[in-house]
Amino acid sequence: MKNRRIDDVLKSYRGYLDEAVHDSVVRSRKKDFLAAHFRPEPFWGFQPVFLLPAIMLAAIFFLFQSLVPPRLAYIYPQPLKNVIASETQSTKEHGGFVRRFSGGQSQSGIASVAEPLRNDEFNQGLPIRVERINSQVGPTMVFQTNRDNIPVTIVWVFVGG
Amino acid sequence: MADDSDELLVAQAKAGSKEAYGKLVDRHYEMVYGLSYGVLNHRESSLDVTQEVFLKVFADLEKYQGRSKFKTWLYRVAVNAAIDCRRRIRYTDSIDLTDVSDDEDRAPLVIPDPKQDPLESAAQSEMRDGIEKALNQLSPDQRAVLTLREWQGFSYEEIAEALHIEIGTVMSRLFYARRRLAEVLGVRYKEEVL
Repeated sequence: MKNRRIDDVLKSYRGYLDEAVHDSVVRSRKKDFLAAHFRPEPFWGFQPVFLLPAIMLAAIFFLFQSLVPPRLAYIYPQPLKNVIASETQSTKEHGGFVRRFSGGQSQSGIASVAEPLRNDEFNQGLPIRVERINSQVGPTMVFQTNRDNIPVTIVWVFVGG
Repeated sequence: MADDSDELLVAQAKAGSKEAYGKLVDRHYEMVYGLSYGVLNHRESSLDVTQEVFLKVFADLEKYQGRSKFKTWLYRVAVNAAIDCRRRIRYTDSIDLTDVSDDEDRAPLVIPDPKQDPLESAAQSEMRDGIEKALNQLSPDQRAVLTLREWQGFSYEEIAEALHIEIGTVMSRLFYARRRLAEVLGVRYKEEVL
């Protein structure tokens, strides 16, 4: 009987400490402590030793790109902008294709425009007259629309142009 | 699992892995806190001691030679830190650990279970107060032995090794602590320690 009561006392003592240990404040302080001092190391690619140089390189690249002189602009890949060649700028003497500089050369670099051979005699007999040549996707594709917005489109595709 | 043994994690931590040491902290935090709480009987002080112990052990990890279990070594540091803290507080009187009346940090918040019998709940509360009263009458060394034995389940030899004391000293401290606890809670204690 006596031993049982003493066992109860010691059991209560253990319960007393168990309550203290499983307190929510203790759990949260443990979590904070682990996060502050012993958090798992991040994936190697995200560690500062790799991440910071990568960010710096990217920053230098974009800075250099914005400050580079226009005459060196050709070193960057740039999508070709719409190049509109007026009728008066065509040069028949070159035959099939003409290499032409766009009006905004100083900003956008060099654009190559394919232009078909213009044959005025042939055009005179047709209801549709070629007025403009647009290049939207690069030097390999040229399409032509008629002046009166008639839904007729002629497309030439020049492979490797 | 062998990969998660304390000794392997210690080796990894020695090599600089904070993550490995974090696993050790996660594993032993409650035990170190419970040990500190058993000595100090004060939540905030026990939390401070616990964190201080883990930081100190991490800084001194090179001193661990592996002659005893890491757990034993860690608990030795924890007990000594808690006893030092208790003595420091006693001398400086910065915190009155003996005043139970208005210190909310002394005991954890216990939400009463609505299904629990009110009489039983009152008896538990009375028992808790009695335990606190009894613990306040014990020295830090006696509390440390009582906690290691009754809560951690250490053998006399392990306690002697952890505290660097003789087994006879362990027995006498444990006898006195148990008797004091029983007396305060209204149980006559004449049981031999052995």
